[in-house]
Amino acid sequence: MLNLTRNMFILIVLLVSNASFANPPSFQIDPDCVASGCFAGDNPGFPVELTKSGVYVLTGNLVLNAVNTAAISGSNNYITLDLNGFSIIGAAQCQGAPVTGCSTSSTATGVDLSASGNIVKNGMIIGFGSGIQIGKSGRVEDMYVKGNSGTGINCYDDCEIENVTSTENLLQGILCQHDCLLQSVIMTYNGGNGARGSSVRAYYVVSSWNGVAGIDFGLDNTLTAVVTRHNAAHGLSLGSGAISRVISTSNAGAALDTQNNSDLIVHDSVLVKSAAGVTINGTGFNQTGNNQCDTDLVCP
Amino acid sequence: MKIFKNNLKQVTGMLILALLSNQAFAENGIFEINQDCALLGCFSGDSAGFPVTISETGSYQLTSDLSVTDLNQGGIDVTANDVRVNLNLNGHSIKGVATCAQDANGIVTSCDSGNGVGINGDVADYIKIENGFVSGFPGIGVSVRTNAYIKNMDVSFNGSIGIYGDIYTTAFRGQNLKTIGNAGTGIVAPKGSILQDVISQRNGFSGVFTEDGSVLSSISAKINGQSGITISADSLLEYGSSENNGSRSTSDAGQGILGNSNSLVIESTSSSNFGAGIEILTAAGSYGSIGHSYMKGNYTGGASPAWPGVIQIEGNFCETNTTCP
Repeated sequence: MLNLTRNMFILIVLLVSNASFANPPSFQIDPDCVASGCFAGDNPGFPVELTKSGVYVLTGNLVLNAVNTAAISGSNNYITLDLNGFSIIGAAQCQGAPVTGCSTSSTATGVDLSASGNIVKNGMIIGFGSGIQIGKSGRVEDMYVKGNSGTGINCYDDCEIENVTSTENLLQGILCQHDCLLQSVIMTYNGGNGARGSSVRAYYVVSSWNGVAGIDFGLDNTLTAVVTRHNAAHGLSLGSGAISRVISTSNAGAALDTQNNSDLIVHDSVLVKSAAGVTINGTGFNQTGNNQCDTDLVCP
Repeated sequence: MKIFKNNLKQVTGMLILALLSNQAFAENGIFEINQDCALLGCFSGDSAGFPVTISETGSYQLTSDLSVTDLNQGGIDVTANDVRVNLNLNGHSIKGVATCAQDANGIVTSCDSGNGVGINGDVADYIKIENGFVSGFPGIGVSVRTNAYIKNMDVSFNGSIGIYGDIYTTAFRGQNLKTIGNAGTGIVAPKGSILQDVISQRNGFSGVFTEDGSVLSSISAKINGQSGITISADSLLEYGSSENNGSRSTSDAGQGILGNSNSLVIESTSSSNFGAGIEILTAAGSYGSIGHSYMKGNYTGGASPAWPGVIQIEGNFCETNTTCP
């Protein structure tokens, strides 16, 4: 009988260890562990340092009272940071809609994962200098980024940003350095442009009520299903590329600024000026399909 | 035998501890909501009984269905303001007990009256709600406001609007939503919203309504009491499908798809609706556009009779000819 009991105990231990083994190895970031260091290589206090590739899961909100301190940083590749529905809250405070200034500014980045292939997902970052800095081939998904005294999301080459709202940041909502994807993204009330970058693919995007342009991209962009409205400068400023199913209206600048580049293809789009603005600014506007330009079907 | 009993007690204790610690690990700090705790109070700030009140930012997850038996009580009430709440229904349902009446077309015309709202987040910004079902409430199914994100949700057979994004706020995002048989409009979304992959059927009013400057893609609206899909000014609808809407229409003409100034309807189908197939209502001196779309069998023809202020992007099919009015 004693052996039976021992066997039962061993079975339970095996089941428990097996259950742990079945899940991918991950590291938890608990608010209570920050003061002492959450895992090997993480020094006490903020920022929480992610020293190894792997999956890191937040198990509570992280609240920082110090202004110029980053929350989470990592220099390795292939880190997945899952905020698990929680928020990382810094001390920066910005005002205005769009943001015109910050009564408390920060020089720190909320989450800084500047190496390659990293992922930040499923939560909210509010009140830092930059909200998120993500490196080459990184990904930001299912995130809110709000109220930072710099740029909301700064992503390097080949990054993907999907199901993200970036709002009320002092500078750009999103800065795509090169070759990035924006999909199902909302950028509103940022003090700078809604989004800046080059070689951007943008699908299902709303960029409205920003302090400069809705979208300001350089060369080689593809935009489909995009709405830009009520921005304080141009709705769209694009160097080259192809756009379709885009609606740009009621912006203080032009509905579309071509940056005087001759390689901009536009079709099936609606471009309407505001009372003080213009429909098209610059040269190089090539139409391959019918567009509605203010009161004309045939755009200039 | 005594040794066995003692060891059995130890093993049982260890088993309970192991299970408890495993459960805590699985939750990853997420607050649980279930029927048992709802009756006692699930966490700080939540008093006993319904609605479960979420008053602090954080991540919450259902671990059982919730059943609300009082028509004047809601399921979950989010009162945390200006900070984020993540609510994962985790495949579970929040069910009220309101029953609804349907007309001969299966359109819900009314439900039992009461004040209960399925999930009420009408004072909370940045709510994300996902992965579940809300039905049987006499009020709104799910009510949210600025920067809400709702995905993978079925909100059906409630006594008012199915999913309501406060029209005086902005930036709602909805993906993979189903709203069927609500006595009001299926989905209402504020300015600057993105809606993708929506099915809205047999609602008492419209299928889908969005405010200005929104993007809608892959929206199906069928057999709703008023217009199928209504988009306001400066909005895009692509891949819309609208059929058999408008039989109960009073405040609108029961259009399949109804647009406004500077709106663009493209690659969409509208058929057998009580009013126009696609109509763009434009202010004086402004226009709207329809492109690559199909309209047939609608009561007043393919589009509104006079096509006021409508610019056609090439390739529309209207009734019996391919050259629309």
